[in-house]
Amino acid sequence: MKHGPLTRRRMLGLTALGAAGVTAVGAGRGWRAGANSEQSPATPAATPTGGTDLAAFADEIAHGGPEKDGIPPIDAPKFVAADELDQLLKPQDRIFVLDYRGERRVYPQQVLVWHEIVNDVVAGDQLSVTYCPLTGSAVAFTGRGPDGAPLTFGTSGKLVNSNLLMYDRQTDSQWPQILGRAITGALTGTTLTEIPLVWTTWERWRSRGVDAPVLSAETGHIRGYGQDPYGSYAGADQGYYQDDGLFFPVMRRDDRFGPKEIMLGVKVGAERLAIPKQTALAKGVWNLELAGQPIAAVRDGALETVRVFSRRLGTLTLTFQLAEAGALRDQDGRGWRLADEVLTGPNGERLPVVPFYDVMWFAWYAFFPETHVATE
Amino acid sequence: MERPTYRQILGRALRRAPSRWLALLTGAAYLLLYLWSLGHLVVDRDVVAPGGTPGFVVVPDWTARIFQRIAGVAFEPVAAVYPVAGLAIFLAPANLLIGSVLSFLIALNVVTAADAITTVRSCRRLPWAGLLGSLPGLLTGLACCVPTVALALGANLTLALISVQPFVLPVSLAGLMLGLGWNLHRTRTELLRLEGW
Repeated sequence: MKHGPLTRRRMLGLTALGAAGVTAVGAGRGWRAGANSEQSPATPAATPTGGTDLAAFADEIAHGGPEKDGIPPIDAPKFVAADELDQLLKPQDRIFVLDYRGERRVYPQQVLVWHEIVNDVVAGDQLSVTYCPLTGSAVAFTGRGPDGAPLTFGTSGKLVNSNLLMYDRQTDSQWPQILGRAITGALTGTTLTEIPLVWTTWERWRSRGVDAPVLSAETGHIRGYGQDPYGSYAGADQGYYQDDGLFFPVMRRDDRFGPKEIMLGVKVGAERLAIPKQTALAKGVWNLELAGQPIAAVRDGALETVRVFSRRLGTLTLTFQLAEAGALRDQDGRGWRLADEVLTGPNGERLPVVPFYDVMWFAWYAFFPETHVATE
Repeated sequence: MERPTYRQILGRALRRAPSRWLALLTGAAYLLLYLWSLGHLVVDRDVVAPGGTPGFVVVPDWTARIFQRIAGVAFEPVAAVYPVAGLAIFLAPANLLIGSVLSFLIALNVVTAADAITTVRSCRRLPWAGLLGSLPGLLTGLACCVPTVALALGANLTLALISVQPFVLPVSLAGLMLGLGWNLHRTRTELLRLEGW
């Protein structure tokens, strides 16, 4: 079923898989500034830092149907061993993996789709794991209120650009998930700290054999766990996740990519970058630069996903290319390896992760029309 | 001759066995459809019953959440029955009550419509019009099931339906009451005309 006027462009890059080792070299600075191809002149430009722009987002708040917390956040998450979830999760079901200060946790999409927010404590820190099915975006947040106490979040039942609008329980300020910034209330303008969540399938995670706690479906709520009301990330009929149509209005659109094409959204300072995930997977490693920061999108072959790292090692800027067996080699021929979520150098050097998250193109663009886009 | 009361007309309709069964079936079918539209009747082989089937689950603080609204006039389920694999029935008492009232009114519309059709010769179809009042009631679950409805109907229609969400239950109740009243009135008028009372 087709709803929207946009035409879906073919996913990029799969055919380039065989040439990834060649094209990866020297692909740095391969982004270009995004053009506002369909932005209405009446719509204020949404630069990430301007105060007036937050008011423009606030004007776009739309009711999504449910009441406040009608999509109930999980406030007392229960975690179980992976074996206990094998009945609920099918091999191709998506999961979100959090790696925070040495602690690793798994949040099944099949559970998150009914709750959208898990208020959790990880490594002693209050942290909110969030997922918006309408925009395909999953990211964890930490933040503090005016009194310094950690923020916890609920679902407002409203949307901005089709994206989950959270509210914090301390001040009732409202935060679009993709923006990660309050647009109404006492904390307007405050930015949350983002922690990446990595998407993979249950099958790939189980084959890794990593012993990490998994969010249980015993949430204290009754929902149709195992059934995704939006469609499916696997199989022929993916429903909303594949269909070009949107359920709710957005501020602006751009047809350089299909609306539901998955991007890795990267924020560095005031700059935004969209990295087409399929292209990044095909390339294996992608040297990029954003706001003067050298970064690399690196394929995690074990989980068939992509992670984003800084390419700066002290004063040195590294440029990677693919080597044998999925390893990387820098410009000086030194070998680097991505293992256990860490990009490690020959002498044990570690490159820091740059915050990123998966997000559908239409939603990223609707919030950040000035975004750069990584191109080959 | 004493004019028959509406209660007497209704009693007369209810004594007719075939329409009684039809009303019972229609009312039961509507209740199931209503629960399905809310997402409280789930038929899906992927839905997992915690603890296996058959099973029964009650949320820990069910008394505090029994009237907690999810959306519009859709309430938080506080219990669930998993009779067989692939079938789940979620129990939200307030929605069961609303669904039962709507189903009861629909059943009454059916028996009075059937009675009116056999009595009022000039009108064969109009008595069923009262059943149109049942349709808005099916939208009470819309707001909590936006994805399902939007995929089925399209986004624009879904948005329009969300905007009328506060009115669907009152409109449904009013429509069914009007239909019932109209059927009873027509039958009584005809009976008086035929002096059959």
